[in-house]
Amino acid sequence: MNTGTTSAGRILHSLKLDFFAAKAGLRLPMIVIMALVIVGAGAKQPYLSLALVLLFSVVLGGTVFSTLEKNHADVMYGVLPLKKIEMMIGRYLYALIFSVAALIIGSIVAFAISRIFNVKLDSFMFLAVLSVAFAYYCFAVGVAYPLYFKFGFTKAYIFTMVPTYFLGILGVVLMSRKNFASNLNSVVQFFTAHQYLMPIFGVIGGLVLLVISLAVANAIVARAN
Amino acid sequence: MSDALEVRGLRKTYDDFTLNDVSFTLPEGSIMGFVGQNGAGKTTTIKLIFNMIGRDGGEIKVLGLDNLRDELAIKQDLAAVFDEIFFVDTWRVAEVEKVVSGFYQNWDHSQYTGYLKQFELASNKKISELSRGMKMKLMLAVAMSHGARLLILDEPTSGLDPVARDELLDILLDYIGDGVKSVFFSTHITSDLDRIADYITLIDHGHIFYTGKKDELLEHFSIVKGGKEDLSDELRHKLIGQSATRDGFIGMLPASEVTGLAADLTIEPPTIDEILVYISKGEAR
Repeated sequence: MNTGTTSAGRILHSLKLDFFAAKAGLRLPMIVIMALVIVGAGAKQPYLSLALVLLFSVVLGGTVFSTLEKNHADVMYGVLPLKKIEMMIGRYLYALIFSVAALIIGSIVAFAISRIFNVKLDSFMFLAVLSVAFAYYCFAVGVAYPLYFKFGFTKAYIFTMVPTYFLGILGVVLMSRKNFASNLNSVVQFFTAHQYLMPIFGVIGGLVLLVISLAVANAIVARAN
Repeated sequence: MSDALEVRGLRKTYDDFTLNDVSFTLPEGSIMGFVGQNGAGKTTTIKLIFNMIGRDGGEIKVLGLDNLRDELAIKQDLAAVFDEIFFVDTWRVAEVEKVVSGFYQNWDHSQYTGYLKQFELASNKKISELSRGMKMKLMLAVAMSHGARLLILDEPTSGLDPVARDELLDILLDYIGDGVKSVFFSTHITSDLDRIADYITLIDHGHIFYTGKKDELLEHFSIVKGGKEDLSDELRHKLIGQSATRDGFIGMLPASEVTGLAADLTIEPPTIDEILVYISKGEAR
């Protein structure tokens, strides 16, 4: 049976299309990742390399929109036997797989730096960086993708920084509160005692954000049509 | 004979343009030219057929199926070629098949490679390295390799040199050779229509001006030429469109209005180009 005739099959083919589209743009990111690894290695900070690689992947996640937009892919999607929601699910899966790949690359880099420079990797810090970076990635994608689907990458690209600004402002507001330090300390203590909960919170929180974002994107596109 | 494409009362309104009550029918096994000047509504109509944009009214049936309700089934049997290639320009010719083939139930690898060979398209070439004519051929190869029964082309010949245009028209004639497949193509190059079209639909400012057999279109109108003194108010009223010449005027009118005109007027059959020009002038008037 041809997989193009089932919804799951079409989503997988759409995902494959995204990877083929993004493939061409991977050369520059590989150079940047190498640079980020060198920065982390220079500072003998495996977490720094890990965090930088993951944050950089947030920016990279949107390049598939840019490539497809530049090549009139809206017409291609209109011609292919593919529902818009299937294309959107494929794009969110692409973002998810992309983030997992970044997590793996970042982790390998962190392990390598810790071995080479004999820096001990603290499991709490390692899990904390991974969990927060994944949740942030999902948050950033969750905000940006509906805007890309609605306005196109070129017009909406500026909004990719909105989540960062938002979190920055939130951080400043929280830090200005009197009991921030004691609250943060209790949070750190809680997660130190229950380390296994960090990735669970990070993964589940991130996935929930992506699902909400997909629903919003679908509603926006359906309304526009 | 059943219809490959049936459009009824199609409407789409933008701030500055309205596609109004567009209706036409393309019988199976034939080629229809969709003619109009730039901005007449050709691409909007094609996008509506593919449900790329939402419509405000009307109905579209492709091979007897509703284009909204049966969109996925229709798109298995529908293929498109646009004036701009819509594959990623860094893909190689062989990669296009890898990306696209999975979506189609009846994708035929040997047919695709056969077309690549016929069109002399090297499978390791990047799309960005192809000429405009070669890009058009690549889109045709993809469009004709999944057993589509209706091929829709939007301005396929614009920007092609005469040799490439001629080749493209030969390919289209060959494509409908089995009597089952049909072609609907928009153009403003009317010489293409003379060569291959069985049916013509003329669109102007979002309105269908004529739809029917090509030969009947030419019988439908007449060109009238005369001096300034020949252009009476009655004749001016009958003319669909007119232009002034140094000595008088040239205009077009329905062939049914020719009888009873002054004997010293020159009456000639129109070309498709002239019909297009005078329809446009008539609208402007």
